[in-house]
Amino acid sequence: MILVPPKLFSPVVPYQVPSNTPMAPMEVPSHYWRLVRIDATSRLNSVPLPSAKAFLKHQVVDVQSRSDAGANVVGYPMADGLLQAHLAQLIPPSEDSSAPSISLAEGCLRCYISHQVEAACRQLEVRFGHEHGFSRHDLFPYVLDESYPLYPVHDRAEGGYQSLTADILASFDPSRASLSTWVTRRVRHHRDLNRFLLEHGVYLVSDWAILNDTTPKQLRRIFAEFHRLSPSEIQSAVDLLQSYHAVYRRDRILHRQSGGASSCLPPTPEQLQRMVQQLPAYHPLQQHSHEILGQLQAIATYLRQYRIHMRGGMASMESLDRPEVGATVTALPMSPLEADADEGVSEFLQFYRQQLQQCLDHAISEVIEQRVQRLQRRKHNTAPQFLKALYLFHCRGQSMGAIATAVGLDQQYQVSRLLKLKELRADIRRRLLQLLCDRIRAKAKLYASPERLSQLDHHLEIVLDEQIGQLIDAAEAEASTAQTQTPASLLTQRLCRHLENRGDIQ
Amino acid sequence: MISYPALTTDFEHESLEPAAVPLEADQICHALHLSQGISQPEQQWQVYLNALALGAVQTWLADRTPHLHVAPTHTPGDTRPINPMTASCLLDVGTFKLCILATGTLIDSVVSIPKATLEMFEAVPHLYVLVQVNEEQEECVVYGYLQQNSLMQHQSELLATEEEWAYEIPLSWVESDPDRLLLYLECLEPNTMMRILPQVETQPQTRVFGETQALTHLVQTATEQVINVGQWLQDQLDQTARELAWVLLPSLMPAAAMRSGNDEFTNVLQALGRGGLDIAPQARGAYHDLRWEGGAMRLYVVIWPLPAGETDAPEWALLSILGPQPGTPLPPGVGFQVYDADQMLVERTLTADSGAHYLYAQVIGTWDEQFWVTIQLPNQGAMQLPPFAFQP
Repeated sequence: MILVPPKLFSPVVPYQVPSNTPMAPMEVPSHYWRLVRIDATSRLNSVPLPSAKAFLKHQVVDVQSRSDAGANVVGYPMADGLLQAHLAQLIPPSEDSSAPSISLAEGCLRCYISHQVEAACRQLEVRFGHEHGFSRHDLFPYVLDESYPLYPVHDRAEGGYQSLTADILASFDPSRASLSTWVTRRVRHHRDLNRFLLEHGVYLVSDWAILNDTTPKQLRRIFAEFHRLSPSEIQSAVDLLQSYHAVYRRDRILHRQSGGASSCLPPTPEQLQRMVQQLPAYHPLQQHSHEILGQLQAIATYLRQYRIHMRGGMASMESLDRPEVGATVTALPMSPLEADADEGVSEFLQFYRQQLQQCLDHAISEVIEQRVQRLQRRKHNTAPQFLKALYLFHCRGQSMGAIATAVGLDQQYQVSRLLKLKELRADIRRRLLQLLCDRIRAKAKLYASPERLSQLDHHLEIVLDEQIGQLIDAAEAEASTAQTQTPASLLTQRLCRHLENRGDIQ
Repeated sequence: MISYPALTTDFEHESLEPAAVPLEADQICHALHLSQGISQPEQQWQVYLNALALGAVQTWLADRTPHLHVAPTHTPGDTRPINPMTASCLLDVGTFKLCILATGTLIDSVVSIPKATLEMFEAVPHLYVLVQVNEEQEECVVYGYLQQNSLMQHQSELLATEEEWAYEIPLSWVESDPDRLLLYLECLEPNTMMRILPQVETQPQTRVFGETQALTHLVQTATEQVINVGQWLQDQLDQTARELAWVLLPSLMPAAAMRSGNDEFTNVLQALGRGGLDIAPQARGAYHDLRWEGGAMRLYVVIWPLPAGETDAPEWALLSILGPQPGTPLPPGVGFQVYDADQMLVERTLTADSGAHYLYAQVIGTWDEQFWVTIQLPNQGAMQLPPFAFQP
């Protein structure tokens, strides 16, 4: 069953388009008369509907003739919103069951929607497909489920199947969004599509989890400062959230204790009933209790928008394939210590460069061994895969995608999860600092403060990532055969040496 | 009724975090059980998240720093009086005390810090660790950390937002570098993140058993001997300095005397001056001879007031110089540290190959600030001197 909020929306109302919108006299956009669907072999087709095309030509002329005189500009496409509104008006209402087949107006709109569904799948592929190992063709079967010939929206026997496209059309409310936006959102929130995406490491947090994790105090602040809602709306939302918490969260803990599944399901009608009972007597939902689900989803949508805004401020995507090349090694980070402190640090490093390689080899060996042992103790021993993936990455310079295939994983992101390269490098650096410290006792005081330690770690990071040519003799550099285009860093070189010397990589 | 939000096509999907720590079934079980025991419904969910976060941090540390001993600070049988909300988030890691801050799927610009962790002496942690709990997906992400002494530097801002059981702080105060946290836990001593004792509340309802310890510390610092270097400007040593055998050096003025002097002290000051150090002409100095079984050295302290300029409060400068006593060189491995009331400010150590004859450092503070100098001996021992205050 496709989840939609209760049908609160008013019937389709035409857009108020500015009167000087230009329109083309004979332009018939193919989005409205070609239906995008997948055939029995899951191949994408764009099926022309000639009757729809003819109908559309007529409609465009009709709309054209009713527009303002000064608006005719040859060659410009018709504004989508205007055409959609016009077509929607032509769909016979559900009471008129005498209509034997789907109206042409409805057919045109469903063609348009099918194009938007395809576009939404394409967007998901562009954003996540490469890293998570799927294409839009994997997504189509979930959402391009339109039958051919089309069944009317309103022809629905009890429990009969309704395509997503038809459902989208039935639930569309132009006062909330444009049709293309509505389609995109419905596709992205599709239950089965999301199950597929989750299997591939792409996650959509549920409305119910967000509501669980938000306190009334947070809600108040976010609604007031970020969304600027009115005080009465805020109070209404806070009351509703509290009654939601009292019912849903408590039930969830009991549900999880008895071994229930982890994904948050929408509240049941019975739960919604109990929530209404928890609301104060003056709450508006007491008079409109059937709207409670929609109101909860509205709160969740507001919170989601805030979350996206916050995440945008914090996000930093690292390039996963060649992090050493991708990482920007900028000037030495200057912390507000006196100049002498810097001298002391670089003096330390200079003194130990000859010790560095030895300690580095020890650190690499220990950290890898530690990781291997951890992996061996797990239910599925992934240690051999880990070692092979590590080798292919550092010694053969292969991409994450190629490594995934080579070690028998489905997706690139699973390789990232297995390798945890950033953490590996941090662990090696940390062990290196400890070993260097142990070696020479008098230097131990350099680790006495967090600031000094941070600075050392920064310097080490740069030293380990430095291109080989700067660190060792030119002669030696010529002797080392670089497998990849870019010269490997010191860390890569030593890591590779260690892996090659192990006996246990297939 | 709430008006419906305008819809956008911003991407709401996210990649699952590769560095996420999966929650084990028994950890989830334990967290559920713990939350069931909480009578306050608003606290129940938070305790549940706290317990999940605590479990995740234990897994994370076992993976990344397996040699560190990790255990929850409070075990079920613990009879010490502590709020269950706070108890569910305290963790002992090696010699460090950690407080785990759990948030859910809502990414917010503020973070809540339990008040109890700042009001109970025993509960004051060295580090706060922020963990994002994804209860639905049964995994957590260690976001970052905040040092307790960093938090206390913003103490006045903190009290302004106090409410109910927690303070709120901006997310920007949290360092989003969990690898750095591991580095500190493995390589540092807790005293480098010296916990600052917070101001003790005077309202009766917040009086807790930790107050005695806090008061003892305050009493100690109040009656500690202090060397008032401000009196040196009047050509005087106070009683403490005299008792400790400090020797006051003559004025640096007239400048002529400074230029022609061949005494060691003026040579050093001239060298420092050439090196760029700006010593006021009215500065006064004194020295103190130190002796231990391995050798001897001399600590010079030079002080001067700073002209009241851009800042409202007048300031003073303390220049510490560690050098040899005449005739014997300074042994390698010696050093000193200068502290203010909160933390170590600066540190100097003489290395074997440095070739320096003196170590020096300058600090500046307002007239109500004191500085402590600790001498490090090569045999790992240390000498703590009374604090220097400037009260001319």
